[in-house]
Amino acid sequence: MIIRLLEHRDEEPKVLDEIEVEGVDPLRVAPIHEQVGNLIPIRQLSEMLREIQPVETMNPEEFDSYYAQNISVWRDGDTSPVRIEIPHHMGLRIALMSILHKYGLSDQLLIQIS
Amino acid sequence: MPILSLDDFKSLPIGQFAPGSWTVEYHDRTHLADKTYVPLGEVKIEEVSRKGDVLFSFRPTPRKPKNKQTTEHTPQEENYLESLLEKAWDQGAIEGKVNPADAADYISDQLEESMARLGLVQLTFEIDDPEFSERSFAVIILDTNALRGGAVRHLREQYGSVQLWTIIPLVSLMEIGERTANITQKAADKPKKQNCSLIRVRPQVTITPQEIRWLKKNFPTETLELVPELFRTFRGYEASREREPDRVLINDRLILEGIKDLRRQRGLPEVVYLMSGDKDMSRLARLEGIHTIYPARPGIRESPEGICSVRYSLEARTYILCSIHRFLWDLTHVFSRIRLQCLEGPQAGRIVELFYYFPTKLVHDWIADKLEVTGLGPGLTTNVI
Repeated sequence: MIIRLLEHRDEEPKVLDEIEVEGVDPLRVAPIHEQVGNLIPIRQLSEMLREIQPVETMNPEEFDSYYAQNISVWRDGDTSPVRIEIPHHMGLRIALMSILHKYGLSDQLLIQIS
Repeated sequence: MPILSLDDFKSLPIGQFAPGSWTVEYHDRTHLADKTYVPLGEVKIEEVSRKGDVLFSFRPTPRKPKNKQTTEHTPQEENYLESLLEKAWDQGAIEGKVNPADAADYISDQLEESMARLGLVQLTFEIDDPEFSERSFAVIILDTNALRGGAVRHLREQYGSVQLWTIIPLVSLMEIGERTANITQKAADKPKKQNCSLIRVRPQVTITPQEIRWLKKNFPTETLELVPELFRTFRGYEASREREPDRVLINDRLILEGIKDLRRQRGLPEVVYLMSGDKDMSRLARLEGIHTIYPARPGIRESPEGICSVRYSLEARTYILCSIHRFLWDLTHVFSRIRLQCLEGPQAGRIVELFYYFPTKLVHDWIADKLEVTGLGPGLTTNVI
């Protein structure tokens, strides 16, 4: 998954940051799956965060589609990456929360998830 | 009683946790009666993957608001940490004098420090050198606050391109011994309310040695020796209680003089930094021309949905995760005994207890950082995760 943060003032949106998150698939996360590729105002995304969940057909028993497998994490203070399983919707929500926390809710900011 | 290392706890059936709601409580014999526990907060285990990765959130016990404003979510008076502490003291007929708000502050402050140490909340750094992020390497002298707060982990996360060389002042090591004696003495006495201030001191004894071990494993690490002339000043005052306020100042002075000495010896003043969580010491160091790194800790009270066990670091471009085992381990080092009780879910009714000062603890248990862990119960399988 790639999350692009763009600033939109008068002219064409300018990319401020691009975050590549290995393993997480936005198509498995509702309601984000309907917005993949679109430019979403950061305020609207903030409201969507509360609704984030696995797409309707998926549950923990459908393991391969529910969990983003082999996500790289630093666990328990160790900075050597280990691979673990995180549900796609949680992985996406956590990454978006960090972006919102860092950049705030400016009217000029847009996010594109692909 | 099982005596376990953190790795044992993670891998044995006793370390298996199921989704559901759990309460986390502590008992500390220095200021609570036997079998009396105070709730620290709620843990909600949201996910347990096939590999046993546990994702959870922690919501600390609410604090009494300073103003009287109420909302529909305002907890009942008896559910505030201050009230729960008072209730525990009343139940145990504990004597002594302390303002419950101050006691609750000690607890909240240590919870905040613990969450930062575990990486669940992010420290921000105030560095008085604009070129720090461009440096290829930096020599970091850590004071006791920075050591126990796990600040180097955050520095590494946020400035991954800077190679760190860490230096631990001898004074900090001496403080560990001094504090150990102090806590041991208080633990042997009858519990008193005012001993709750020991919660602030204990991590220096229990956490700092583990942090030093971690530093030695991950970075070149050496000790900052004391300047002999100043060492003579230091000796002899320790036993004098009347001069207690001087102690911190003298320790700070010893560290600052040690840093100046080190810069003279190495001839690289521009890459030597003092990392201190003490604002006054940082200010003083800057006045004396020493670069400082001040780690600022965010509050955790402003997290109504709780603190999640995983976050995404935009600096390191990776997820930072804390296992439930390490979370409980750290809290036990701060509060001495931790009880986790399942209220709801497949393991409802299960109680897990971790104890730092178990009676048969030997030197090798301290070195290997072992705890007494009890708590097999409902919903557990015998499979190893």
